Amino acid sequence: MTDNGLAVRRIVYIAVMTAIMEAAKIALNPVPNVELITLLVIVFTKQFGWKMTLPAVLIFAFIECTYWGFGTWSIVYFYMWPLLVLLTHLNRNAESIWNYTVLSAAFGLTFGAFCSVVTLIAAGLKAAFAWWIAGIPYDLVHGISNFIICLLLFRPLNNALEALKRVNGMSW
Amino acid sequence: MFERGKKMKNKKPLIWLIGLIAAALIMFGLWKGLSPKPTEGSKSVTVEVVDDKGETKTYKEKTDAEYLSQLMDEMKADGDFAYEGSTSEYGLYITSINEITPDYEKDGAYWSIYVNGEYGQYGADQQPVTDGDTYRFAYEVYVPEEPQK
Repeated sequence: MTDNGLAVRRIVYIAVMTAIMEAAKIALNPVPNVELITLLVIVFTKQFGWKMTLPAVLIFAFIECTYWGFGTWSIVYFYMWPLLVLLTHLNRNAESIWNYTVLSAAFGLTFGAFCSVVTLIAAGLKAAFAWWIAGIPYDLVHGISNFIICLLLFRPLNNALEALKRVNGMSW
Repeated sequence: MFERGKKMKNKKPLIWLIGLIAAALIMFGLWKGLSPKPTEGSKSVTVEVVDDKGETKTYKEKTDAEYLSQLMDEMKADGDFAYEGSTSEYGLYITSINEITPDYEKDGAYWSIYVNGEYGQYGADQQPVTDGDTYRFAYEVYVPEEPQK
């Protein structure tokens, strides 16, 4: 395949990945702190690499901001999802599903703590700590649901994407 | 390809899993121990509503409410105070007070909560009611800062 053909295919894949994340986000919006984005970002990074997934999560963050409006939480989206891409990239050679399940659960559990960094900068340590403490029940739900979702869905999704890559002769 | 029935050969994830459970338990303990505690008994508090024209309406209340949202419900039942709200993942979000409904999407307007003159750190359903406190609901407009040239 020519370089141009490969570039076009990559752009299409990034667009499809973004669309899948957006659809998954909207589908689970009514359930607070239960989401599929963590699983999707992990699987996409493992299968397509950080160079493909990073643009997808940034576009996803931008779409979310245009949909819900820009606020302090917007900043969170622009560093949390890239952070997950980085963590998955560092674990990309792990062979056990447990590596990804633990990563997914840890990400959900610490989501509030990482988000409070924005409050820390904007309003100080006391406000950030109070904000984090108040949100702990939601972090626990996020961590536990991420654990269950990844344990159940990582394998079929990962295998499906691997098969897709094989069929299309992709190697990135 | 990830196959079914593959056992956890590397024990590292197991250690991380135990660490995660421990972290979750510590977080739960912190939440139980450090969440704001309400005081019980009869309390005298002041509630102020500063509307979109900057006019202040003051209510002097005697209550046993533990949280501000409960006090708001009591005041609503008394009839001279009205509010509407929706529950989000961050708690109670006040959408209107005394039939004044800010439109954040339109002009950045929203109802904020002040406790004894300081910007509140909790939503109405997490803010404890303490004897002698003043709670102010203020109609405010968020104006984004202009980027510096």
